[in-house]
Amino acid sequence: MNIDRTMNDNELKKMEQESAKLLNLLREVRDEDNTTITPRQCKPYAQKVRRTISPYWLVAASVLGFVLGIAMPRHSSTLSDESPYTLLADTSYTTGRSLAAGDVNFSLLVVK
Amino acid sequence: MKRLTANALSALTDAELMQRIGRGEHAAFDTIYNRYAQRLGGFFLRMLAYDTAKAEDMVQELFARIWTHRREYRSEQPFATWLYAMAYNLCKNEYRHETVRQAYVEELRQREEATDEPTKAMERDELRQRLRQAVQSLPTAQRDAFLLHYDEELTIPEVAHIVGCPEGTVKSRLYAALESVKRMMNEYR
Repeated sequence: MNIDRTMNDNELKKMEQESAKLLNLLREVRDEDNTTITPRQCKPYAQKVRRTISPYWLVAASVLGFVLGIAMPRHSSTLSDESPYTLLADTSYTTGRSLAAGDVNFSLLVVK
Repeated sequence: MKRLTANALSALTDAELMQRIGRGEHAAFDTIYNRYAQRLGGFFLRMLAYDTAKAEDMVQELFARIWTHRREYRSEQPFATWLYAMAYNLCKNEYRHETVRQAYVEELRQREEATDEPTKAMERDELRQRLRQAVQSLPTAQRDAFLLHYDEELTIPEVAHIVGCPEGTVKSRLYAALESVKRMMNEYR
């Protein structure tokens, strides 16, 4: 049988009237099924949705990071960018500290 | 837009709530959630062969999608159609697990065979189980139309829009589905 043939309203309505008891039972089953899953069980997800970080914040944080990176003084660049002697001079100059105490080991390490 | 209390929100229509959700109002989202989550849970349950865990996941997935696509909703479109179209598409992705449905029908059949003389209450319960089994035994296209129209109470044009076929086809499927379910239920008597 070709179930996809076009059908007029009357045929279906007649069938529905004949199946009234069945459709009532179907609604009972539906109502019973609908209580199986309670919204409370699903609630945590709704809260999880709230915690989603907006992409705007991510972009703003990236831009801020970039700007700070550009604005940082040169002496804070990585060791490989500097000769050991420049680094030593820069460090003692900007911190205003002499090569004493804790700096000594570091300085010696760099000079070596 | 003025913030409303939960009570005031619950008096709003779906379209009005979606307008607020579109502007990121979480309280409106909660209202829609409370309005539809249970009903959709039942829908997923029936569409996915009574797999409770999967149905719960689907409700969550659906609401996450509603939130993500909240700005795509157009108020001239009935909210239920938009919602069920999304829910139906989620189910379609799960149809590859058709074996689960077959397993459920088989499980019901075995349970029924194992039952001895039923009491009155058991008879009623069994009748419901048989109806579930009959609906689950329908061919997928018929079952989808049947559940959307008779359980979810969507109109025939809405069902046609959701499943993507002409209204006449939906009517034929409904007719064939009703005929089959009736026949299957009569066979049990």
